[in-house]
Amino acid sequence: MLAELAAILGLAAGTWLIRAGFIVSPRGRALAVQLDPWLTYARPAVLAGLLASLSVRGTTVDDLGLLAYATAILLAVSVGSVTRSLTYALVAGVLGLVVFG
Amino acid sequence: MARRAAIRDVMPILVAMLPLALAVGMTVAESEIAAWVGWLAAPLVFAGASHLAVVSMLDTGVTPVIAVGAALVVNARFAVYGAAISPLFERQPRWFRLVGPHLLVDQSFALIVGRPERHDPEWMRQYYMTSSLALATMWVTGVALGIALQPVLPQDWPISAAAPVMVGALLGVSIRSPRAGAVAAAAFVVAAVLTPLIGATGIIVAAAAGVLVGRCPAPPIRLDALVRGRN
Repeated sequence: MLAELAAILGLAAGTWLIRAGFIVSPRGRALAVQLDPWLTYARPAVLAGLLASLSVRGTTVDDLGLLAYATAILLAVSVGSVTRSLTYALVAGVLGLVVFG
Repeated sequence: MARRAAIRDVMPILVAMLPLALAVGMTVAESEIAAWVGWLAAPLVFAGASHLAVVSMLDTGVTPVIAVGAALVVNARFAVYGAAISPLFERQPRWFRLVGPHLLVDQSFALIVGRPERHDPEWMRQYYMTSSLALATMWVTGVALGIALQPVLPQDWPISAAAPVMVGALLGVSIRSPRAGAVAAAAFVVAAVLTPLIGATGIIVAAAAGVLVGRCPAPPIRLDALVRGRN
């Protein structure tokens, strides 16, 4: 539990530095602008990696069946991508689970 | 005036935020992590995607350093938000320059950059603090509710799917161009191949591979070849 608590505290401190560092420091502001092209793709890359890892390692696929799982995920991803709305994407994913699960 | 405008603007976002907070709370309750430790990330980190990422990774046995590293990569976009709104913090009191950044999330950023009155320091401070504190209160309460409600939900509800569906939804929203789709596809394939071999550490390798795909120069489009192909 201590390791997990340390991880949460470390994430909190690191996230504050990311948020505040560029607000407080003019040099940091310039660096953020330079990093922008890389940061643009970091979020989808990490989330896709996490999704694949959860899909491969977790028991959710076994619990739900591949069809229901894949449908729910594909609906969530595609609706999120088209509407840019997290709420619509979540609703679509849950509907996929309900209909095909 | 600023406070009233903030409440009016933030209301629909609060409604949309609740299901996400509940899903993160249920994921925390489903995991092996102590509920209070998992909940603590809601007020201290205040960022849904990285909260979900760190809890999911710690639960699947990833080392804390790697889990935090991956979650910080997810939060890296806040650096760009911070750079974009940093001029608004220049004529603000010190306490606000320290506290304000903690409340910087996608929603609070979108709200403040959409208001033309933001260049008035006092107006900006009141609007930003009111809307951001409302978002934070909803988030922290929603995650706690999700943790509390998870045990009383019927056993046959597919709660274990909450995390992957939510990650899928977050991923979908972050795919804003065909290239971002290619980045996600590359990272997904690499992580799916590497995870059985090196565990969830493969997420980092996959993310790096995805970003490299994103930074590859686009192949030039040969118009003459396209025309010949049609004939």
